[in-house]
Amino acid sequence: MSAFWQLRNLFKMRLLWLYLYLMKAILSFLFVLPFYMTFNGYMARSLFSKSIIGSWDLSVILELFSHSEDFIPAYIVMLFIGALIFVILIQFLNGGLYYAVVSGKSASIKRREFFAECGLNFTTHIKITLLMVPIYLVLIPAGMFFVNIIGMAGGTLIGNGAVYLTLFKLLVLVLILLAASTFSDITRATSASFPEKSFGDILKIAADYFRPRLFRLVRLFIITWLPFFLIWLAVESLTLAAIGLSLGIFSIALEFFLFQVSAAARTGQKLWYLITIGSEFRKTNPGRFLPEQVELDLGSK
Amino acid sequence: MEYRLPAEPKLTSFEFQLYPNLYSSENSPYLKKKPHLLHQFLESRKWGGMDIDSVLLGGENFTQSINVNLTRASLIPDEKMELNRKTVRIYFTTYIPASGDRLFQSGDEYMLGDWFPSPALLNKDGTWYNPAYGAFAEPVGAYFQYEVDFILPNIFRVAAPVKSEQTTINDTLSSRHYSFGPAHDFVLALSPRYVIDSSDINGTNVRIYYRDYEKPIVERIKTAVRYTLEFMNKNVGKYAYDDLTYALVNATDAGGVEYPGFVVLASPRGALMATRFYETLVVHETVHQWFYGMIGSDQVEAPWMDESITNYFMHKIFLRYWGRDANLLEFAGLKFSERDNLRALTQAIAAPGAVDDPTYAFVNESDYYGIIYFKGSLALETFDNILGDSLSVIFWQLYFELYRFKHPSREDFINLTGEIAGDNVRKSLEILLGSTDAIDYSASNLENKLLDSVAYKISFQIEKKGELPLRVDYRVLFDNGDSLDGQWAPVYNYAEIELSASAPAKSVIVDPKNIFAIDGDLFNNSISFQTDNRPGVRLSSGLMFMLESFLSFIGGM
Repeated sequence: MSAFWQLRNLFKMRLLWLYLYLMKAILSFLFVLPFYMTFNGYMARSLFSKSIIGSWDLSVILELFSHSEDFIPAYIVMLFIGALIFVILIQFLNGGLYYAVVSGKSASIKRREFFAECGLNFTTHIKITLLMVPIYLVLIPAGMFFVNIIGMAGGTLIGNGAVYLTLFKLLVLVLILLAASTFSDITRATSASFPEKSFGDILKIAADYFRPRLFRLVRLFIITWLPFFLIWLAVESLTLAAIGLSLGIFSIALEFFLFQVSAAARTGQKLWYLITIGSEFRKTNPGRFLPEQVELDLGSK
Repeated sequence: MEYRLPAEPKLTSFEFQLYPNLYSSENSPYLKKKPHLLHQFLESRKWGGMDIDSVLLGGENFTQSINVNLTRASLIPDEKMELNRKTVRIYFTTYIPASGDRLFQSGDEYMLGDWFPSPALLNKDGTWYNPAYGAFAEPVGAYFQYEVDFILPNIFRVAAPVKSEQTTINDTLSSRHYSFGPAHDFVLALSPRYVIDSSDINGTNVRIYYRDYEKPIVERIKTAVRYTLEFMNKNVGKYAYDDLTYALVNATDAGGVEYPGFVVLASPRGALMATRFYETLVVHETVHQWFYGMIGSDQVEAPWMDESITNYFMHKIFLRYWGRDANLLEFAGLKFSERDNLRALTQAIAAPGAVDDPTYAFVNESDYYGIIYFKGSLALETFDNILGDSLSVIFWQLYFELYRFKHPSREDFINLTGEIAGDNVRKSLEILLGSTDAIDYSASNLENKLLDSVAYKISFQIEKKGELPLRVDYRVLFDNGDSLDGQWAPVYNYAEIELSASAPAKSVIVDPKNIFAIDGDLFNNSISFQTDNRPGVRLSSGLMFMLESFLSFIGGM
């Protein structure tokens, strides 16, 4: 229930939510621009490309890509560099973000204070990312090895049975990665509470908090993720309906709007989750957010 | 193996093929260009092969006179010896490898393809055609009547092209006799776990040998077989045998392998089966019963004569029974067809090679499949479109009638084309098969000029790449909804076309019916007067959402 109680704090932080979503959207838009500028001229005067208006017709997409042998590798490199910039940018913002959610100042935090915290904790968040990357790199093949052992039992399944088994394997793999991701979140929350501590101490405090609460933290993530998943499902079916209306550019605009609703919901989901675990973390590890003890001068006249 | 030498032509030698020797070492030219298969052999170290224990010719032992060069074995006895009408008897041992595509063992199951010494093809002059097999060549054989006796443990269920006469020898062994032909190969698949589904499909007794866990796929296989038999019987020629057998095996390399009256299918265990890719496999291997099985060809020198033609007929069957736009997949607004798959793979992996190149011209698997299977299929589709519906049926039915249980050559195919459709189509076919140049038709520079209050002067350019000597259709679409069809007879590679009309032109399409399926670029086949940004905007919108989801995944926001 505590997660749902925190929804009101999410709405209090709606401006931050909007900015985070806009940052993602603008960056994606910048990535899409060269794609549009390269291919629109190719498609705009051809009748062959028209079918893409009504469906994701792979004949158009594949035909387009097969004539872009030079563009696609260069574009992938550009995306890789862009993704790297995004990850670094997020590590910068994590300082202010975790400060906001762990301090409980969600709505009242000032811009100057937010960015001061961004700068203060930037290196710690970069360190946490550098620590987590090899952990993910080990966990992914290890997790796949594990799920493949599960899969061997059902290796003869065909069709629906194989689909269910694949989904189950995917779920197990996601849960393994989610546990690691949750540890990363707790470490970042710890760094917000104890910025004066060494990196080793931060990891120790985070691990002590994380170990007994692993299942609860994963459960909290799933609880906050489910509404987003339902929104995503609704968006997917609504976009099909929107395109099915065959209203030309209006259908496309409606589809774009729905896509953005889904993208914004995903940002909101993560923010909601962070507010929830930030609040819980502060209860046991208030660190610098412990209210100052005030000595009351009760003996004075 | 016993083989009766024919009465003519005069023979001075006898040659036969030892196909299992292709699996005998890492130096095999067959394995060298199949890295995946070679890797499996290197892992298992269980190689295959064939030993010739003895050869009797007319009852006399000629084992010492045998000369073996990997798969090619020849026997040249005394020059004065009369070979015609003599019986050759070969005693042999076949070593079954642990991996493979045609001959292999998987646990207690056996796939026995090309497991016996097979006579080479006899030329008209009495010499033998005994090819050296490279990586992409499939076994070549002459048509025989097979009488096969086989003794095996009772625990096995045996998939074969025909039903057997079975005799129990004792509690553990039984003997089987198979009588099958005319055919150029004979194959068996053995498993203690086979379950048999037997049904009459279009007058053919179709038997599917599968394991219990493969039951969910049996009906889909039968549907694909039904469509294929119906289409091929009607449009090419009647399937020659009473039986058609399918065996699901744990293949480690090939998705499917064709034999006369018999189709090997890789087990789809573990597959989600969300698309119709498995049906493409079933249809493809079944069509091989015509182009390979009943109409033989030289699979070393002219692989297009079975693989390209077969892949094209698979495409025709998919169009006929599963529609055009999404015959492989339709899910959540996503459409994918077998034709899209062919075009994409052609563009992605077809190196500049000719469709009629021999197997040994190819240096790797992707080039071979790209040219022979994918580009070849599009070339044959173009050829068939040029023939047109009525001539197409006549051509394929006559081809079947003339060459049933024979081995037509490239020239036979081309000559028949000339006889039926004329020299221009014949020349076009030669270009489609032999040229490495890109073929591309395009329209550009569409302009409308107002001549007076009721007339417009419309002009546009058409261009062609490639040397096809054929007229090409174009269609002008007008603003008022009318259309005008025309034809361009190319003298040069460019032409500017002008016409007058009462309404301005909205678009021009060259080759509107996509007769030239091999056209390298379908975007430039049409040109619109006004730009339409909607396709670009929608694609970019979808890409932007994908990128946002990706950034959320890696950045957590």
